[in-house]
Amino acid sequence: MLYVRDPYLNEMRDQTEYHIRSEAHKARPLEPSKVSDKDWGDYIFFFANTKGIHFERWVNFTGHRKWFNVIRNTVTDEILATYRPDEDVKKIIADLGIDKKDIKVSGVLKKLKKKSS
Amino acid sequence: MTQKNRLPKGGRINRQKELSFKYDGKNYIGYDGDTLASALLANDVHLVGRSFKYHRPRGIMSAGVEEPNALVQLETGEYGEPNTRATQLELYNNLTAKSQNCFPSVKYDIGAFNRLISRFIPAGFYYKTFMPNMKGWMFFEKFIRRTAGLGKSTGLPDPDHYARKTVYCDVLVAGGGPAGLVSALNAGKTGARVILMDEQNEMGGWGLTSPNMQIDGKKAIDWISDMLSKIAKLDNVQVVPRCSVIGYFDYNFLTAVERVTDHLGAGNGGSKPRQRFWRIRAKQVILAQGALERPMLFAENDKPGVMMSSSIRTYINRFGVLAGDNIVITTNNDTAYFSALDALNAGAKVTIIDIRKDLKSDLLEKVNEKGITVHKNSAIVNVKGAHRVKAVEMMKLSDDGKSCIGEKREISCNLVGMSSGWTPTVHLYSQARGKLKWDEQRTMFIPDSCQQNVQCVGGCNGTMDMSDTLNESAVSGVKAGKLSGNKSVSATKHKAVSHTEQPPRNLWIIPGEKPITRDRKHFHDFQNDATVTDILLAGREGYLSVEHLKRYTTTGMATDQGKTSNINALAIMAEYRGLTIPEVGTTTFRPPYSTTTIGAIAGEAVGELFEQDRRTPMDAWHKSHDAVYEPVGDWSRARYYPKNGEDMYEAVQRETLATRTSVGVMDGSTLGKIDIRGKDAGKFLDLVYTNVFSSLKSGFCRYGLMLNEHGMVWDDGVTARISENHYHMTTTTGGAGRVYEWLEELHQTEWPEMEVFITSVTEQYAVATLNGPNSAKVLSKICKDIDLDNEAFPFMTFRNGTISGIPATVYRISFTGELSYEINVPARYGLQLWQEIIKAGKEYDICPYGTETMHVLRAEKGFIIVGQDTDGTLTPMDLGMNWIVSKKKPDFIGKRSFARIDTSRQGRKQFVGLLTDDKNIILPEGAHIIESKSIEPHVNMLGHVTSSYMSPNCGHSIALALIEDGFNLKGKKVNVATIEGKVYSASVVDTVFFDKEGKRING
Repeated sequence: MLYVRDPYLNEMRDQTEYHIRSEAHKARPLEPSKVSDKDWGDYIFFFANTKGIHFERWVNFTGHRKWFNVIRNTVTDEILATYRPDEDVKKIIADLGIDKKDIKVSGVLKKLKKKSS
Repeated sequence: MTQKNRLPKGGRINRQKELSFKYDGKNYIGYDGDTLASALLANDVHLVGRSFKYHRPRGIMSAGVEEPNALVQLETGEYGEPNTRATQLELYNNLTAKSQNCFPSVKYDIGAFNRLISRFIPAGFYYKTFMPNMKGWMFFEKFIRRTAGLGKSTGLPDPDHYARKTVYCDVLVAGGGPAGLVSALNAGKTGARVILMDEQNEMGGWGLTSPNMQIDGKKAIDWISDMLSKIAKLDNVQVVPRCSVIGYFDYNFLTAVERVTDHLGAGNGGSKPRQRFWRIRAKQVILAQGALERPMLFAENDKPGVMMSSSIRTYINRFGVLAGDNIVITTNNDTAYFSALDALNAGAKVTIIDIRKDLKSDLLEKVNEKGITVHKNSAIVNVKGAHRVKAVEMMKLSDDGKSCIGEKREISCNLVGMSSGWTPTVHLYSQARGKLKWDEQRTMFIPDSCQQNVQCVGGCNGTMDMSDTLNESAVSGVKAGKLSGNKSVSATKHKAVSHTEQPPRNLWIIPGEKPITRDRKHFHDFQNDATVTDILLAGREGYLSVEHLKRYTTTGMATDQGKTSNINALAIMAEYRGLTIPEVGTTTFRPPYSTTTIGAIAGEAVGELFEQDRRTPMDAWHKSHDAVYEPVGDWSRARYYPKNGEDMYEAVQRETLATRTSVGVMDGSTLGKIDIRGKDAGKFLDLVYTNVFSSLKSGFCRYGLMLNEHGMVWDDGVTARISENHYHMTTTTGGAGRVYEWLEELHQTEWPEMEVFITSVTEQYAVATLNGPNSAKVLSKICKDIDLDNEAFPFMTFRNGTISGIPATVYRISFTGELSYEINVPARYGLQLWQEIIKAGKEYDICPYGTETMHVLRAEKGFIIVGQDTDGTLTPMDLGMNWIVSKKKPDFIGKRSFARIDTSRQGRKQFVGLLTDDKNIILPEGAHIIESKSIEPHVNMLGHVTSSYMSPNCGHSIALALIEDGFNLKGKKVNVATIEGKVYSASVVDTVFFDKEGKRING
């Protein structure tokens, strides 16, 4: 059972208090009607599905019910970082010393207009 | 009854306390401190069971958790337990146990017929013979399963109770032998919170087997009590005996089972739990589980009286039992010599058969001095005796060790000890994702590296020398304490009398008189009855990988999980393939490490506590009025209220009719309710619903559909605008939780800039729904402060008022098409509200109805139930609900997907009504709608029936269905096939069957 630092409580909690959803940083397009069929298909159907460093969203469903992001190595299940959506992910990646080429996220991220989360 | 094999003195037993017990119907005496196995051996009982497949007689083979043979049926009746390991079962007074897998008795077993034909039933026999013809297998399976197998489950409820405990600690030490004790002491000295667990009833591990070993100038047994009293002085160290650590998961999460009162006997636990399941989160873990001895694979090595050489020693020193007085010990390493010496001192005649060619060990001199004969470069080629070893036959080994040569010699004996080296207990380390490396010299897998905070010490680290073990444990203990955030101290220093081991000779298969394939049986997995030739057969048939090997021969798949067999099996396969053992690889060790009762895992979560059962505030009334319940999500909801012995069909017909004729009332408290506030609440709802809510006037309600981003319907409900920045949303009963989480997700991750506050209020309100032409009349009797006139209180609005003094919000919404009032009151008034309604409704014969009638009523009006009529592949347009999809809004969840090619194509499955030609036929839900009139293959499936009922109000059965291009089929006939093979003709019609004009909504 994984053990995570809850970024809102700032303490270690059991995995069983959380639900884990799909990839993080996959912002919904601001104006979906202007997105091509292909890009929309990429947005709703395609995920990074990484073997290695994965950015994912978790929610505490037994307590404060806040969503946050987790960087997890899908091979070892090691959790490298947890952070709130309003934290600077670039800084977190830099602090962890993760090489950019090891980061694989859905292609759609680059194409779509990004938002803060 | 005399204990023939009990030594006059020695052992950790209390000779003052005699315990009587019954085994296979015979009475015996043992002592407090015995296990069932040691007590049986004390009484010279070796034969304890029949083997799994061939029904061969089997005896006690070990003295611990690795025991493959001595599995017994413990007690009878509700306290009965199958497959209990006699070697771990602490003896208690009046214990009763039986042998397993034998009929009528362990000595005369009918199933032993399998032995005679064993040549013809090798690995894979049953599947090869029966599987090609499945029907044959289905027939024979139950007979085969009966002859192969272990104990019998009682089939009765478990009378015991079990506890569960979750703890957090700095250092968990698994294993309480010398290594574990030193680790715990040193970790404890750092100030760390330490838990030390051991599966035995007392700490000491290997020290209990070799009590005379010298440690720090003391006898091991005295040294252990010394260590324990030092540990006892540390308040921060908790010592837990009788507790097996069984699972090692991510982030140092471990599970353990403590046998709290098992040793007191069945039903004698008092108020204490039988067992306790520990869930432990440790900052640092030290594994000190020792090592297990491996059996030697010579012919007939499974006879009762053949046991592990170290176990002979354990029985002597720990239990004061000499299991046989004429012993042959066969070995490939030095440790067995210590067993030989202890057995000799206990009064046995001992002969050693060592497979090694040259013996240089100082031990050789020692044993020779004492008069023990050592046959080197020799091996056992046969074991004589049926129910007990009588003699062994021995031959010289050839140079390459592949065959036996020379004269055969018989040595009479009544006990055989075997040792083929040691296997570090790396199970937990491996479960923790630790990598193992192969030590070729000592033939063992030892821990290499692990991502978790774990250290292995002593035997389980492959450290076999006692001095090294103790010093490595001390250092590890300090390190673990320090790493978990405690102070640094200097590690204790230890010195034990060491012995320089002469390397073992590794002959994985001990050759017999004949080539292995034609020789007597050489067992490597005793519990699953797998032999060396089974492994070779697996190899010949191409099952080369360890995973295939394991499944083909069932090696390592019994309840002992191959503790004694795995390495031998891997080595033989490696030899067969001409590879090294690491190249062949190991299978993954999985929890639990040792067999665990399901009761311990379930803990208190049984019976009523097994699953949450949510009940509404009105539940007491439903119960006292004989409601039949159905589970809906976590809820138990009243399904119908049978009267005068009605069945469901009759009750539902009556309730359905009564509601439309006069008035009915339903408990709708389970409906999901979500309170949404904030200045952006309207904007937010516009994005999550297909229609517009920002334009809804305060005091009004609107029905809405929620889609997922794929454009598919996934929930629905009515939402009311309470005030400018305040909405009250309702969801389906089952969808309440996920809709709530989804709203939070969207708000927090997509639109955090919006000011919206979302709160679940499902449990805060009780809801009673009045339906039917007389509902206003009933309500007016108990609600005086709301004008119920249609003009003053129109459809799709709500009013606040009081009902018999209870503050209430009344919504004029309808899921039946009738004049309807949905009355919400604070939950604590729910029952009172219900009783007031029933009382007021009496003069109109008010009919309480349940979910089943609700389904019929809504189906008569063609209203969907999300999850029954929809399956996550339907757009609002597929449901014919285009009217609810806003054309004006630039965006809402799911809108973009409408334009996808597949979502917008013609001829998708669409939601329609069905009327059978014969009005009395109620189509089964799920029935397939097909093109042809017959069900001969291959038929094209056009869709399926989603809802189907007899409608008393229409006087006709009705059904709702999803059919490809259904809208264009209206007025046409389709065929509906049932699982019984019948085909019915039905007309495709509109989904509204009753009151098509919608006149009844205003009474």
